[in-house]
This record gives sequence, structure tokens and C-alpha cells, in this order.
Amino acid sequence: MLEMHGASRLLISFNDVIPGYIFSGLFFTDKYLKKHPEKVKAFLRGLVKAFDYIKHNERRARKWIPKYTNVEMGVAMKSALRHFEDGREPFEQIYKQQEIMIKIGRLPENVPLKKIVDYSYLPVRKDREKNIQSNK
Amino acid sequence: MKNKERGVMIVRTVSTVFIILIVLFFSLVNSSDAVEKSLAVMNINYGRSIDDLPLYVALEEGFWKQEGLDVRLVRVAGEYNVIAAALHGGIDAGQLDPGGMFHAALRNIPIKVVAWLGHAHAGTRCGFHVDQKSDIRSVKDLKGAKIAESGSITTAMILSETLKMAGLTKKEIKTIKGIQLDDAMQHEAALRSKGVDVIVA
Repeated sequence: MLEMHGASRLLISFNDVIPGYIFSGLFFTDKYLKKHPEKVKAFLRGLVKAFDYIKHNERRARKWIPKYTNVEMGVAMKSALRHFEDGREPFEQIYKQQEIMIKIGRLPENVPLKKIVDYSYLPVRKDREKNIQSNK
Repeated sequence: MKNKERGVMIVRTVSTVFIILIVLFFSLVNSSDAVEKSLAVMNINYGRSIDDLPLYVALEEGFWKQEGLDVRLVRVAGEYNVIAAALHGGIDAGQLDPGGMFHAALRNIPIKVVAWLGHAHAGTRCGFHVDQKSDIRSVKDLKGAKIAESGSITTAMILSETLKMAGLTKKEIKTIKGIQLDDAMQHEAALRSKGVDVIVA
């Protein structure tokens, strides 16, 4: 976004340094997941529809940015977006990031991903859905 | 006489149809109100940034409404505040970076990531920014540079890996911590004033 203001030049990007870098995740408490599984699933169905919408209607999607941020329309229409898929990221990538954190002393030890990630509330992947249908 | 009766009949029919239409109109209005009221409310934490675009789209394009949800975006700043708000019911869901999640797990905080909000790609423009006229042309030129960064785990990782690529150590650069990742005006001013040579944002 800084480049959009004409002040700077990008020397090297996050992706050049750590390809596929995962920035953030959406979490619920375990208690909430246990109490409201259907509500969480409904929320994620809506979210995945939004990922899909951005992929196919990027210009239209970008128009909502100024309403919720301090970003002007001109910048909103040009700024780089993250790559959104279906909410899942490969465990290998997350472990790769974890290893770097441990190496630089920002994490004391390894954390098993099963302890912190649960994809079971996300809608079934489109490719798996097709496989299920073709196996019927 | 017959014409009079016919007239009365027409007036009665028109009045009846009119009354039915009014009743239908109000029952429809009430039923849409009822649907609106029956939507389940969800408070979701967001960062007011471009990166939250999927949340804005789901809200504005009615994807959550179609799922029976009335999602409200709530701004809570700071990792610990977000976790505390989720644990105490102030928000239903929050956002954390992977580092925040790992640390939460180490402290046995009972939370789970159910979806990730995207990743970097070839077109990503987050990274090391220098002034347009800067002499720093490659990472190898970073020796002796003043580098401003937020101090987060993310920027620490990127900085460490970049220095490794450049064959440099932390001792060969000067880091200035505390810059906000999303404040483009602050970044611009810092670069123009030569207060810093590089901004990680």
C-alpha cells in the first residue's frame, strides 16, 4: 500500500522471503465450537462464499474496502490482496513458519497443529465433493 | 335499479380486494421483520484493513444473512485483548497470526483456528520498502541500514530470513521497533525524512 502513495519502492516481498506466508487465522474458543457447531459452520459457509466471490469478482469486491478502512478508493482498487483459497492451508507451510519462529527464538518449542487447527467446520472442498459424487 | 345493485356490487368487490391487499402487505412486512429478528447475532473481530476484505464481502453481499446470521464486525486491538474478548464472550470469533496461536496453545488457552485468512503470493507487496531514490537496490545493500519494523513475530521472521539471504547478521543493521504496519502516512514521512532507510510493512 505504501507504494501506492508513490513514496517507496518494494525491495523484497514477504513472499520472496517466505513463499506462501500465512498471515492470520480466524479462531473460536473450544467451548463455543462445542456449543454452537452449526452456527460456526454457517459462518464459514458464508466466508468461503466470500473467498470465491473475491476470486471471480475482484473489482466489485474491492469497492467495499473504503467503507470499512481508511483506504481511499483509488488505493483500494490497486492494492495487493492476499490469496484466498478455501480457508485451509497445508500443515507443511504452517510447520515451516513454526520452525523459523523456533530458530529465531520467538517460540520455545514445537506445537502440534492438531492442538490449534480444526478444519472440520469448513464446507467440504469442491474437489472432494466431486470425488464423492463420482464415486456414488 | 339493476344498475344501482351492480354499482354496489362493484364497490363491495373493490373494497374487499383492497382490504385483502392491505392485510397481505402488512403480513409480509411483519414476516420479513420476523426473519430479520430471528437471525443469530455473531460478533467478529476485525482489523479495519484491506486484509479483512472477505469479511466485508460476506457482510455486504449478504452471504451470512443467507446462512441465517447477523454478523457484526467489532474492532478489538491487541492479541491479548482479542483472546480475552473471545474467552469472556465479548466476541464470538477473533483473529490471530500463527505466532499468536502457537503461544496461546503453549499456555493451554482453549481456542482453535477454523480458517486461515489468506497467504502471500507472487503479487504480494508487503515486505521491505525503501525510498524511491534510495541507494539500496538489493538485500545485500542492507548493511548498516536503519530498518523500522513493528516488532511482531511476523516482521521478526521476515527480517531474520532476509538477513540470512543477504549473508548479514542483526549486528550489521539497526532496527527501530514499534512502527504500525498499516499506517502508510507514517511510513511515507519516515522514509522521506531519512529517519529510516527501510520499512517492513
